[in-house]
Amino acid sequence: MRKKLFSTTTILFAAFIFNASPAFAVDLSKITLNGFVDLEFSSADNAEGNYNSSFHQHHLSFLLDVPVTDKLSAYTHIEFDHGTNINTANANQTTASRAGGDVIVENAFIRYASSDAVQFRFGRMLTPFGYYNEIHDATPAIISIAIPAAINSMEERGGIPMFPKWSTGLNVLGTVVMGYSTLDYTIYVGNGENPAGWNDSQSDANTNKAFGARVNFQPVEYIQIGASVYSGDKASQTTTIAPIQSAPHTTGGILLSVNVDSFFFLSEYASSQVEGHSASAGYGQLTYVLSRRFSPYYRFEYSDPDGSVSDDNWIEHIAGVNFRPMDMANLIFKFELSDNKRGANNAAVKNDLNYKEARFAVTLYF
Amino acid sequence: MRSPYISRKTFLKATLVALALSLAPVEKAFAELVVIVNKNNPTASIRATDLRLIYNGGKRMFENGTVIQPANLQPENEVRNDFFSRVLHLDAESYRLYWVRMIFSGKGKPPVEFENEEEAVNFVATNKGGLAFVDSSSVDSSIKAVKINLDE
Repeated sequence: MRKKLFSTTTILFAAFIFNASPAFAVDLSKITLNGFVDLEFSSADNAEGNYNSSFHQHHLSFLLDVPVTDKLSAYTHIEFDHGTNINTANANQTTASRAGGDVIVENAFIRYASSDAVQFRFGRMLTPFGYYNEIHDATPAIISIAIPAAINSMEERGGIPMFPKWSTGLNVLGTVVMGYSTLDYTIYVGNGENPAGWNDSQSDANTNKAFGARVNFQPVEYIQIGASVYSGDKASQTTTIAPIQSAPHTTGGILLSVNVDSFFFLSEYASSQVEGHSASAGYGQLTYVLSRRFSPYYRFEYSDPDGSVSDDNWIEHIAGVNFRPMDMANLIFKFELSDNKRGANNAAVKNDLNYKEARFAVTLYF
Repeated sequence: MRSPYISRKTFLKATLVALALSLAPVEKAFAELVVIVNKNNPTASIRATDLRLIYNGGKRMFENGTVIQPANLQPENEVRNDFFSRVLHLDAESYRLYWVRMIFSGKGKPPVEFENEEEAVNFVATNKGGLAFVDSSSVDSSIKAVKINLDE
């Protein structure tokens, strides 16, 4: 009996091997490789900003879009941040002088488009919250040198992040057309926020799953109204022996954008509650596309990193210009001036409450 | 011998004529802008709203489920400029910025660009989901022209 089973298995295995269809191949001409590289420079009037007037090789990004069929594709975005160097030190150089930077998988997901109204993503993705988080800080795709820290990087404003930058899980999204209006939606579930140092794409610190959604409604082609929500339990490890503590984390945001002729106005506001703290932030930004080469902009940012702490607000005014010297080269120069005013109780303040910073960036995308 | 200088009266006349000519409406010589699809595509007409969605990546499929493969012409092309301003109501720079945002946020790829209308016609003729805009003089029997329903 065992001999018969062995023979049958061997025959079936051989049949499988010899009749196997060739490896599934992708049409290489349909694969798209995009990316960008940039260099930044900043100089501040005191040590609250970049008082050393330094260069910063911020991003080297590669994006790969691989369509397997008309409706199924893989999308990845790998970023080398801050001139990544992960070599180990040799005898003459300390680790501190050589190592640094990050290699980040910004996006790695499978995309299936069942129809315009129903599409799916599976994998790791930048959390779909508000206008900027999915663009992240891709310098060619944003008008300023950095995205608004208000809402998107509250940890740099003396607070805690309003939502995790990445979500590992499932995402349903689509576009619904209603007459001359359109509605984009996205709904997702992911592992949520882990304690510092944990990678939520590798493991999950609690049984909770985070949920979120965003809708953007365009009643007419030049106006967009949006709302985002994120809800999960933020896991934090208070001691090495205690179980991981989880606290509810809820954030809501609204968006308005108006695009008339060469003017583009964008404004967002968000409010967050986590671990007994509340935070709120917002910004308004006006861009004017003066010509194909020049686009000046102005942004006002407001952050209140902790609602229970008085005099901890951070206000930033940014005025700048984008300059594209050549149409085809995708080369962009950016210059901006930033004026920062903080309250005395803002947790990010070291010595001076206020500082001004001049920033310059050049980026080339392909 | 005639004076090499024109009289004040002649100068005034010439200035008025030049001014009148410069203020006269300038009519651009476009025959007719048409959208073309593969000849096996059952689509008969298409709304400008849907064309805007197709060219900004929001609409990816025809009603019969075929994935749309929109074709574009290069930025300096006059037919493209006409299509973008009259139908899509978009300027070239806003469109470029829009697609840079879309690419770097993983939301899709922009329509493939062709150097001229002939290449766009060939693309549509050989792809069942192909869609492009061309001047009516470029339409031949290999593809099908569909009517654009401009928004009210």
